[in-house]
Amino acid sequence: TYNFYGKIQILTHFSVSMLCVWRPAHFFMLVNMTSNSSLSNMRRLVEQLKLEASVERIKISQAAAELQQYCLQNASKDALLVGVPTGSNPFREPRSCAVV
Amino acid sequence: MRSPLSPEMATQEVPLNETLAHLKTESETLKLKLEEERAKLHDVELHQVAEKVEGLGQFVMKTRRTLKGHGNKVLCMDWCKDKRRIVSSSQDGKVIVWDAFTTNKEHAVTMPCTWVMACAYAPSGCAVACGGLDNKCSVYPLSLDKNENLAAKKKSVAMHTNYLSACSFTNSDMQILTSSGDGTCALWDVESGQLLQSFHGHAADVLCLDLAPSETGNTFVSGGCDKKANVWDMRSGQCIQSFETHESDINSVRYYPSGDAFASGSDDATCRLYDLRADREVAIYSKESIIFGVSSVDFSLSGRLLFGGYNDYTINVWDVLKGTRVSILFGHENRVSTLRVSPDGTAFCTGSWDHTLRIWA
Repeated sequence: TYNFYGKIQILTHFSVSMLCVWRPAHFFMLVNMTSNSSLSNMRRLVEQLKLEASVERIKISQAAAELQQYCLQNASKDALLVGVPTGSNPFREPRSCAVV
Repeated sequence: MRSPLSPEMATQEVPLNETLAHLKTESETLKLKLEEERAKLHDVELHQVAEKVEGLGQFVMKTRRTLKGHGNKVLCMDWCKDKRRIVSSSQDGKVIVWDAFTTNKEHAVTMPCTWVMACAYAPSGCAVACGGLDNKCSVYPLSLDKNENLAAKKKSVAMHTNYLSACSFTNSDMQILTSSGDGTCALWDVESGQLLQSFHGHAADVLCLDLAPSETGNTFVSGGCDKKANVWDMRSGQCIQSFETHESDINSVRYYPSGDAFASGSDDATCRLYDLRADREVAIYSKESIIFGVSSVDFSLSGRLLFGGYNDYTINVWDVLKGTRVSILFGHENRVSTLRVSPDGTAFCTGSWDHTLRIWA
């Protein structure tokens, strides 16, 4: 975060054209409460929620297993994880002028 | 399916608040349904699945190079695809291209504004993009001729109504994705400067974005001061998934290498992992002793390690699967503001308010 402008939350510069609302505990909804736009905002919110509801989801057990599988399959290529043979990491090679 | 305002209703005098009430009820019902659907799939935690995985040993990661030359806080950096060049930008308005192997500066540009908060290397390696308080994203072609004034060839591409917080080329030098303090993200054509698509949905400043790995299609994720991380379809401009579990601004988002998940770092001092197919948060990386915000996150090549740059000057390295911290790295003398792993995963670079960049391996 940057301190300049006090990180002003800019709510007035734009109308919220698409509201994405998350669950479960806090349904934070920001709606421009003028009578004309609140109806169209609500309609868009309902459409957005229907879109999110229609997302196909898988169980965490399956998702987690696949994340884990990807890690394990690629572990050997991950230089920061397993290291590489001495001399083949260009950053670990000693340079001609010694840096203390 | 209920249509909010059918033609017959319009001709009758249906009070506005009655229709609004119907919609509100419908939205409440939908939200509850979403909660239920997601809860059904929450059968286990990621770290439980990972219990049988071998733990990670001790890590020896040190500063291998220190890049000195900026006159003020380093705010952003990006790697070139050649795995050795780096572009960095600073509060003093300077954008510098370095050779990270030799620590030599190859190019330097002075922007007309201070606080250059965003910079990115073009996929070809032939240009860099940057912007900040000027509300724009400009592209500078990099010349082989050291004497050439880079600023003369500058091309203004993006125009926002508030500061530019992040930018990224898409798969080619032809398009740039930007995020801004004006609450929007936008996709631009570099050659013409034309706005190709805009993305509305954040309720406050958008601070960060990351493009999905190219194999997984045309989506990107953004994070903002509204504590939300949104996943967008680049072609339609739609927000397809939204996550709000952080307790403060999201400063950084980064896709897991497979594209099936992404990590976020926030002012609430936690990093979190969200799985896109489970459609929820699956891990939190935090410790009671860590109380300062995370400014930037990135994964190692296999996705097993998550590196976080923190405002307490340190880098914490997390075991993504087990949820534990495997290492803490010291070296910077002020907050770490930016962190990226190199394209081939051999090292990662951090930039800091202490005016320097460090390469770790």
